[in-house]
Amino acid sequence: MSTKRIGWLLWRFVCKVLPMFLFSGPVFAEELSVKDYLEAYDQAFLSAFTVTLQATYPTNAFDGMQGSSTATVTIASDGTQQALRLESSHLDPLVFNSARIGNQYDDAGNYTISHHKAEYVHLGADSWKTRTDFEHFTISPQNVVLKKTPASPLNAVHPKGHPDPANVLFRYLLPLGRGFAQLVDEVVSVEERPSGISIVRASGTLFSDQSGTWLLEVDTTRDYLVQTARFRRDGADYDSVVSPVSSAGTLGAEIPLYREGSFSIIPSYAVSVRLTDYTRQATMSLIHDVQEAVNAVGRRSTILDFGRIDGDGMPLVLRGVDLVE
Amino acid sequence: MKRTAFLVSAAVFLIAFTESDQPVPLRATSQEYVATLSGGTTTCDRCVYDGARQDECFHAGQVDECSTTACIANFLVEDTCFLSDIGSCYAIRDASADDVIHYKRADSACQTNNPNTWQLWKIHYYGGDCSMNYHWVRCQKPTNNCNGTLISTATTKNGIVCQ
Repeated sequence: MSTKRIGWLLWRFVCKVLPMFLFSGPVFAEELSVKDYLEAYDQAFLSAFTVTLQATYPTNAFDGMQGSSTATVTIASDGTQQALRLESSHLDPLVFNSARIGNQYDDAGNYTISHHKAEYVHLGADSWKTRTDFEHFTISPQNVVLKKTPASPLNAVHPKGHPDPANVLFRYLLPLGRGFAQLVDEVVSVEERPSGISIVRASGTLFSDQSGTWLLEVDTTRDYLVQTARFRRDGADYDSVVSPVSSAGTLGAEIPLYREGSFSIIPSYAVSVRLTDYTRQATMSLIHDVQEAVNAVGRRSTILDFGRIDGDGMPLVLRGVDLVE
Repeated sequence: MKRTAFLVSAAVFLIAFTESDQPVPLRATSQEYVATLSGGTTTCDRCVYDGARQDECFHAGQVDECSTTACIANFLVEDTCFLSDIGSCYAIRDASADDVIHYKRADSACQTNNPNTWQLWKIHYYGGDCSMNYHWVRCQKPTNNCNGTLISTATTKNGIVCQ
């Protein structure tokens, strides 16, 4: 046997065989297709669906003293566009917080706080738009809600592919096990367990341009649903965690979804969802209504155009103009 | 005359703040303002939009720690008048108009050079008597790059709008 041949066999052993003993059988990236499966399932899922779910999340991300809010979220997709409508249905009792920042108090010392009454997201073929209807509460030091001002909208226009509107829509789908393919850039390794779970390590992002590492547990026996996912952005000392509740079962025969799950973006902010309805048809009336909503602008509406950012990172601000193209 | 006295008092108040360990103006506005006041300005003119962005490491209150895991991109979106010797400015504060829009985002090792002191970011003016709307910041993020994963948004109202 030539020295060259021995060297080649040694190289093969180090690269292929030794890792199998050390790491319970990893497979090299070029031999894997798990990302292809994730993409194929996500594409099929997004081709046509409507889901309705109950979502629970912190009432105000800026004030940890407030409790949780519950909302009904409906999302539809026809393959070329996605639309979301969120309608708040319940708020834990609001409390006076004496430690907030000065401009959060009115002249009488009452605390004012904003809350998302409704949200709309439209990811269209040309532009992605959102609208958030904020409701403002005035709370006395005795924890009495003195005033609730009518919802006023904040509209935002984003170039197609902008991470923010995708985030606001997909944060409710990730806990159901779908939508991860867009977040994964390159698969680094896959460990296939006898149970059918594949442990996937990959580079990627989480709805921003900041890169990091994904650790996904993909259930290949359940149509490649992602049963757990952790993302650590480079330099961070915590994970963003998506935790579907696999024990709660799935809904849908063709392309199943988990019935329940949660998404912790940072340790102090988590969204929990419970799927109540799922069909493999796009509800076009919802898409149409959402499209109308994101283009509806009131006289005092603020519109942020993230397609036109100045040198300081400030989006173009418009007020009360017509958004319809 | 009364109005001038009020404005001069306000300027002296600001200078006193500037020279103590209390909030310090972040930009030249207050200096220009003080210089203008010494000429006896009593009116406002030219109402225009005056937007600005200032990012902070997340903090929820007056004295809490600046977070390392989250940040806030603050977009100031209100109008303002300019101090002037003559003229009139038709700007009001409107309870339904946005003042600042806050985007809270995930961050990694957010760093600030000002963990403790409230500093004056902007002064905006409105009304016939050039009333002032102060905007203060703390835990500023000098890189101004709070662009991570969006967590949530909030707005504060009662912004200044041109009539």
